[in-house]
Amino acid sequence: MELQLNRVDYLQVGVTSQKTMRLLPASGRRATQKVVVGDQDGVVTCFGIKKSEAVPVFKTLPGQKISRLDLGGALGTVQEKIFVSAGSEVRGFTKRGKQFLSFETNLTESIRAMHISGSDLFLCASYIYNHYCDCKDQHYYLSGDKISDILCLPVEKLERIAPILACQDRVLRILEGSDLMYEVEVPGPPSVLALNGGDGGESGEELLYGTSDGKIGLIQIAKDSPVPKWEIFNEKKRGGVLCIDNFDIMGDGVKDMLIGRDDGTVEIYGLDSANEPVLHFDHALTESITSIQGGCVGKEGYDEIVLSTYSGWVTGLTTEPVHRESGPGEELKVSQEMQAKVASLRSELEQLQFKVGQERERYQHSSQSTTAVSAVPVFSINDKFTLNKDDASYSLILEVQMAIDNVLIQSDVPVDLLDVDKNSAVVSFSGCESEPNGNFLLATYRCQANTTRLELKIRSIEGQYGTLQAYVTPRIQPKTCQVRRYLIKPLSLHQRSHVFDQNRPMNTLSLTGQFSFAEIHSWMVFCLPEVPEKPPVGEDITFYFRNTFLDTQLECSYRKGEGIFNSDNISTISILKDVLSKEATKRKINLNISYDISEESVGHTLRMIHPKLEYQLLLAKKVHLIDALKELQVHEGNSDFLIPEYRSILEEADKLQEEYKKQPAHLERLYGMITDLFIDKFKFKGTNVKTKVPLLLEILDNYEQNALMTFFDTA
Amino acid sequence: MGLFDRLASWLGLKKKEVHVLCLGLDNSGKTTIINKLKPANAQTQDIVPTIGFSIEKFKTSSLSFTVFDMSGQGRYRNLWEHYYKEGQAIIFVIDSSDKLRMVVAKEELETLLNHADIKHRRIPILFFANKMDLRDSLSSVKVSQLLCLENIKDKPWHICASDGLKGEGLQEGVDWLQDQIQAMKT
Repeated sequence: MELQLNRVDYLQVGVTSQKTMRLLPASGRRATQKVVVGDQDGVVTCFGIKKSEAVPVFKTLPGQKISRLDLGGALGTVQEKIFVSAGSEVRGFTKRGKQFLSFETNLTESIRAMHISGSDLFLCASYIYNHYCDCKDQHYYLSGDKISDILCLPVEKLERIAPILACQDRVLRILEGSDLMYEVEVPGPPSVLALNGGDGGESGEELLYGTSDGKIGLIQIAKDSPVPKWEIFNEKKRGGVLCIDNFDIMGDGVKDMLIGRDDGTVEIYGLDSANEPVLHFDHALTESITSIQGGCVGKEGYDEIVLSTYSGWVTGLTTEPVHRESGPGEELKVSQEMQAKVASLRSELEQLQFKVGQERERYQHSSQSTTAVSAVPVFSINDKFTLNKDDASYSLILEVQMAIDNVLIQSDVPVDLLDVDKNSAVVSFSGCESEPNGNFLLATYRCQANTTRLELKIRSIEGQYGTLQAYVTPRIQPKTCQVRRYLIKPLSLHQRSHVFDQNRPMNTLSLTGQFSFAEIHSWMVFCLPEVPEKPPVGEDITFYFRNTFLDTQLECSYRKGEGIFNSDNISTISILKDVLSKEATKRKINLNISYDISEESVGHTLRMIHPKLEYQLLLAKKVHLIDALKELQVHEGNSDFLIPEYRSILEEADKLQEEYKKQPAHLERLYGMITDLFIDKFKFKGTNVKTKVPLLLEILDNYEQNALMTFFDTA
Repeated sequence: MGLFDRLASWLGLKKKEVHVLCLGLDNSGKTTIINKLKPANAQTQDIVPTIGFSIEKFKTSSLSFTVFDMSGQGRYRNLWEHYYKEGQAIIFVIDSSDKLRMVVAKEELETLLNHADIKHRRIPILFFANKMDLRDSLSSVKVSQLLCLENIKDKPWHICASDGLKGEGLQEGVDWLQDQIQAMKT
């Protein structure tokens, strides 16, 4: 059955964080539910809908930014107590807006995630997990990486308390008391957790997770080991998952899964006969969806999906039909509600215009004063700078509550800006001479009206490190600009992983010297993405990484005064060596560097590159032929006389051309990597082979694997 | 009309009576809608398929309606034309979730409009796109497109999405009908 949902906007509050909107359970005879939402100004708003008008129930005073909002109550009763976390404090309200709890936790950082179960309160700051029972401290855990969400399996069903932490390093940590039971690896950094079906399924152990690279999965968290059920990979390259809810919106008696993503996509998944998820419906909004819930708000008897967006719109996707009446007339009649809305907006706008006009005059007048200081309006930017596994590029997402006017991108390292289909902004590149001012990239994105979200793709080169800055100017008066700075790390194309293949030929770099554990850890943070800033507990640590471009791997294990790095790629080791010795010199620390290079590893890396290089060369060759073949086809009327090889090229012409356009620098990238590999290999032997590079490029132009191998061996 | 009647209607004690035909295919919800329009104490609980026709009465603020609730079953449909003469207004009910028989409804509507007793009279027609609470129902705009309502030029018409079980949308429709009938009388 096809589902048709109509969008209704209810109310706008301030900027909202993830998971800060909930529906109160329906009470009394009224079947419609009330909405509670907390925003970053600290205001908790509760409202119901009467005759398609939002009627407020209560509204609190502004305060610290609300990071989470959850409903709770004594176990077994209706869960209608409202709990909000703001700063390091948890507050509780009744459904009428009376504050009954104010609990000042003694956390030093602000709360990032919260879960309520009866009188148990689970809180997480960046790295710290705390469990309180009746506001008394019970358990404590320090996680190795940042925590993004917390959940506890239903206590009624399990009769034990099993909190689950979603951590940035692609791991779910299952705790018991203050101890780690076990870890489950998931395919991306998890960003949100939810119980399957709202109650954890039959066993109460089924857990849904969503990752910030857009994957969704179901895992059964059994007592001592996890049982993965299914995963939905993100083939359409949609945004990260920010919220999950379960609700039977299709009306078939089975709960469906509602997913909200950070690119504004809303999806509804149902289960097919084999209990596998199938997509039933999707809808695109223009900004991040921070919370999603199913229920009935607008009109009795019509189920709907209620969602809150980043800029604070509480919106419903309802099953209620929009056009109810019509008659003979040239055009669709505007319903009375709509007319009333337009009229009220018009009058409001007039009043505001008048007011703003007056204020502006006053401002202009007072800005002449010599002693007064002109204050800058503050606005929040929701940004995300992440590495895509599939195409080895970074995507930078900027979101502002107001419409963006323009964004300036400045970089002091050579990077490529790739095209993003979703972008409607106009880009212009300014010419920059890198010598005098150190700019390698200056680009301006001018956004079309009402764009609040901008997505850019950036591809960096391994070894070249520096900063990328974004100057964001929204459409507000007075016009102001905020700068965001992102680091492009030396080994920027490496991604954290949890597996390492010991059988590959390894190059080893070992460091010894007078440095502390914290110092070498800070160097690692400087070198590699996805390393937690806080030095891990313990005396030594091992991290594994994978190169997203070439699939080579890196193992870093270090302790106070010692570090060992293993990789099957010589270039990786060479970059590490250069950066680490530069860092050490900066801090005047003597480093003893020794390395052990394996001859085989060069051949191994070349073999890894080979299929990619061959594919790109073939693609270039095929694309070269397309035009000529097309002309032949036009002349002859058909392509039957062509050999099958050419015919297949003609059939796939559009696909090939598109792919070729997408990968302009791919071949150059691969050439660059091979050249680096060549230079690095001989650098470790102590010879400088820069003069032989033209010869290498010549060989690459007439690429043949064996010839390249022999050149590497002999030269 | 006797003198007493005239006096009563002038004083607003007695309401003007109007005869209305309620038509539509079987199982579109005609009897349910008429039942819902009656005062709460007069409503019946069980509704069964109508045999032949039945006569029902209900009142609005200024008019008293007498409705010929016709059966929509195929074999009774030829009964409809016998009552066309008395009808001063038509309520045509459509099951908006029944996409398959929308064409049948359209055909019946065409024969109705082309009938000698109807064709040249300017009587108001109210359409109810009923069963709008069902998930797979069509919107009233879509129904009016499928029935080609825009081709009706010489009669005032109006389409309302309605839910006969809960009574949603019925009041708006009947209000429109009442306005039309009063506008015609004067």
